[in-house]
Amino acid sequence: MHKSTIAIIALVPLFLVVAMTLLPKPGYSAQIPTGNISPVELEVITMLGKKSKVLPEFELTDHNQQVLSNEHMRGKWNLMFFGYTNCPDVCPNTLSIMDNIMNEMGSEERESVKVYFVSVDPERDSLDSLSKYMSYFNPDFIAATADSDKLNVLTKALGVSHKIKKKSASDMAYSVNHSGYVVLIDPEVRYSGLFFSDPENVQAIARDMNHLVKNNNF
Amino acid sequence: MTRFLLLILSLLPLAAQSEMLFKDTWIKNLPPSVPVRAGYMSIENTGSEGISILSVRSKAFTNIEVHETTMKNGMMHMGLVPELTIKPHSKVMLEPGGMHLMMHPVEPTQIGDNIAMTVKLSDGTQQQLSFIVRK
Repeated sequence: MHKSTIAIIALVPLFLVVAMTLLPKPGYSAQIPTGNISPVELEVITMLGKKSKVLPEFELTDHNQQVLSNEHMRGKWNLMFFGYTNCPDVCPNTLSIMDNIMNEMGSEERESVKVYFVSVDPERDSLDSLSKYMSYFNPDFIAATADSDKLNVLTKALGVSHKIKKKSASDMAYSVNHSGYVVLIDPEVRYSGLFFSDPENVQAIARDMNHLVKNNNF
Repeated sequence: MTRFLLLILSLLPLAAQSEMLFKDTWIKNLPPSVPVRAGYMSIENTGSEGISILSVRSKAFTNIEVHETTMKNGMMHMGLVPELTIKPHSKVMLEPGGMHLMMHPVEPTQIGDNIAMTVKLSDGTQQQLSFIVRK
């Protein structure tokens, strides 16, 4: 064999190593399912794939009186639900389901998931009442709220609707219409999926979350 | 008079025997800071005529109403169900995400509480139900 051919062959592994270092690492961004997802991959959660949307800069206040913004979502899979504490049915049941999902998840995978409850009723939901509410359901869950202008930055980006149904200016027993789905914000702080929290789907959603966390190295 | 009393007595068992069956009666507990609770149950009408729920009362709650969560374009709405009628030989579920008893507790509920409620029905009967408070 010619000397130069041998030299080239010998260089191939080195070239491959260099190329692998230079090419983007197969992180979660490369693996976020795009287009149709086979039911084997994800059973319940609808992923937005190519339609995933980077969230605009938002700022809420959490129940520990700390700022909650985009940076807090980074590096985690975030499940976010919008509601209000005076909600008797959908909100508490959704939070119980989220608690069950977290319990069903693998203990390692769970570490990469955060659950947020965002109150769209800042007038009645003080940070103190949100704190009591969260510690009742799961002390690891974070509740947050903000005035309507700040809330709208986030809810508009997520396509979440909310409407306060006051019968009069002094009505304090009003209900609030709100979107009933749970939003998934990925580790790059993109709105990347959603699901409805059916109690029958707890295990399937937990499997979906395990799958998302496991297959996306971060 | 005796005859009248006998007549009344003979009617009593009839009145007590309703064709409505209430099962799985429970209330979702919430922290004391929340002024509302939802009650759930299954209602079965085993009779051949429709029966309506006229009222639900309890010493533990003020103002009990049947409400329904409905979804329109992905948005959850909560509204009053003015009259709940169970058709003959059919079953209606009050369950999370659907219909529920909307209630305002007089005192905070505790997990494990058994709460007595009285349901008045359009067939002239009334039933004492016990609701268990669950997480």
